[in-house]
Amino acid sequence: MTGKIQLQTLSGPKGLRWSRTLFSVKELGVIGGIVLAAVIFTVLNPQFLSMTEAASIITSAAEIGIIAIGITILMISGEFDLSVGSIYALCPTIWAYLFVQQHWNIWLSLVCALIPAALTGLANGLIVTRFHVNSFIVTLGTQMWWRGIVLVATGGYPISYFGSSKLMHVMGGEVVGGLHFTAVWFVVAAVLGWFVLNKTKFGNWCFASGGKPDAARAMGIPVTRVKVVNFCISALLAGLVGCMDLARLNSVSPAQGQGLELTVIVAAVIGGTALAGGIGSVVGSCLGALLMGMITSGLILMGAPSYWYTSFVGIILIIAVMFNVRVSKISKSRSA
Amino acid sequence: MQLSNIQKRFGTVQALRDVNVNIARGEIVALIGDNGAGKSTLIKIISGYHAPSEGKMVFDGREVRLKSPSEARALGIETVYQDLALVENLSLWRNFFLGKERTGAGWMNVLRRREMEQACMQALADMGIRLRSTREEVGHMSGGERQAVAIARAAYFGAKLLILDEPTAALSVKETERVFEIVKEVSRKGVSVILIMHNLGQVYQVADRFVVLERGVQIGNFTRDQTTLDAITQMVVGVH
Repeated sequence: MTGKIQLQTLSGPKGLRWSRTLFSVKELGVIGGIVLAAVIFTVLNPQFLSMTEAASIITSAAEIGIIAIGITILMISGEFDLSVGSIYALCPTIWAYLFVQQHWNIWLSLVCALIPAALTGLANGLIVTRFHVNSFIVTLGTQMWWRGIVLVATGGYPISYFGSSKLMHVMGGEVVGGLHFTAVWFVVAAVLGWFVLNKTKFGNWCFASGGKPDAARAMGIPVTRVKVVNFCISALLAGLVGCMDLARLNSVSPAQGQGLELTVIVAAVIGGTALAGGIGSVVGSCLGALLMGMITSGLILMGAPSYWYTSFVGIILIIAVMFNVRVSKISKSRSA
Repeated sequence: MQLSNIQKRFGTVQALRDVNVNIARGEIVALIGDNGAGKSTLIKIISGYHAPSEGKMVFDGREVRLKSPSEARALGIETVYQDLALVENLSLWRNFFLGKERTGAGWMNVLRRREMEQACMQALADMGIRLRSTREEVGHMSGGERQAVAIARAAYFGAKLLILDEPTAALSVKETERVFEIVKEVSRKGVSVILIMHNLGQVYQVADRFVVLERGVQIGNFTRDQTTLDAITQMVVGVH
């Protein structure tokens, strides 16, 4: 009796296997983009390959990347977060206000500064899941709410702090040769994010919640809780990166981070994360952030006006997604 | 499982009237009838979504009053819906253990991947499904294969009564046969199966017993040797 049924799809012709494996790498598009950008910028200016450049690329990639990791996990579980740009300004503003102007303990101030981020994530998640409002709308609302509050509270003026502190050094200070601690935290966040998504039960639940919420619920997975937790992770990482930025630049502007929410979504999407949920990878998003860091540095090296950055990223976004769609089609037809 | 004098009213609408069915261990029962005959209502009562207005349900020798689907599931009554069974973008082993993941100690709940891959492979082999790897995404599998996996999974996790709602809709003839092979295999292992199908020709190939409903009334209950395909067809289309 046994052996009568064979799952045909799992035993395709051998010749196609290597190409199938290659095309099943979701990060193929962004890896190609990185190689292409490296070649073009190096030809235009060999300085691009110097250590100083590498450090500056990694610094800008780190800040986009850490937030993109949170966004990726959230997008995989099927939701968006547009409030990260405002939270990126909110948390360091509170932090600076408490320890610079109110002379609170710097650690306690940091914890207090991150509480609104966690609460915003919680509110985003609960409104999206309980009231069935699209996350795009809810997080657009919380984004505008906090931006307004931050601008009102600061009167639009930046807060600066030029004293030294061990905590600030560890968060955003220089490690060696232009490389900042943000890069270290980027690596830590990437490893942790990758591990949670691919190696733990929670990661499994994230993919299922975004891929097919009804099926996930039918299998007893707390889809609502998964999403709420991910909204909190996304908001907390954005707040934390804002504080790292304050530590690195010794100043926080209430207007900082406008448009950042789209930048991090672009990084995630270039790296193969699907807008519809259920598909994505932390590695891809980190590489996406790296590519955007390369474009920033490359354009500066060329002496191009910085506005070009926006145009460039727009084109790369479209090409990357076209490529990703094509690749996933090939990988599907090869295995059918 | 024994159902006696099951009735269900929604307000003034009598959805089910006096349904009496006994399902033996390992028996495959076809629930047939036209749209609106009350098949879905009966299934929802058995799987715990609705409580019956009147009547008695005995499962595994004990009378049960199901208050929720999860209570039914805990007893071993599992419903497999064709579209809701599996998550396409997850690999086979991740789907198989979805919601019942085996993890290591500690708060991180690290997946014991190798162990689950092997257990999944073994469980499917026991059901007569052989494969080389369980790492393929379910989205790459055909409809019949997915259905087979979903049934095998339910049986593996201790289902005693499986309810299959149109398991072969939109499947080719060959694929339908595969699904039936799995259904027979789980019934041989002692799992009872309720099949809801519109295609009487197909369901006649596999079922041991036929329960015919019409407008909430049970108008027939035959074993296979008590009836013919023609006879049940005529009952369903109303020539009797």
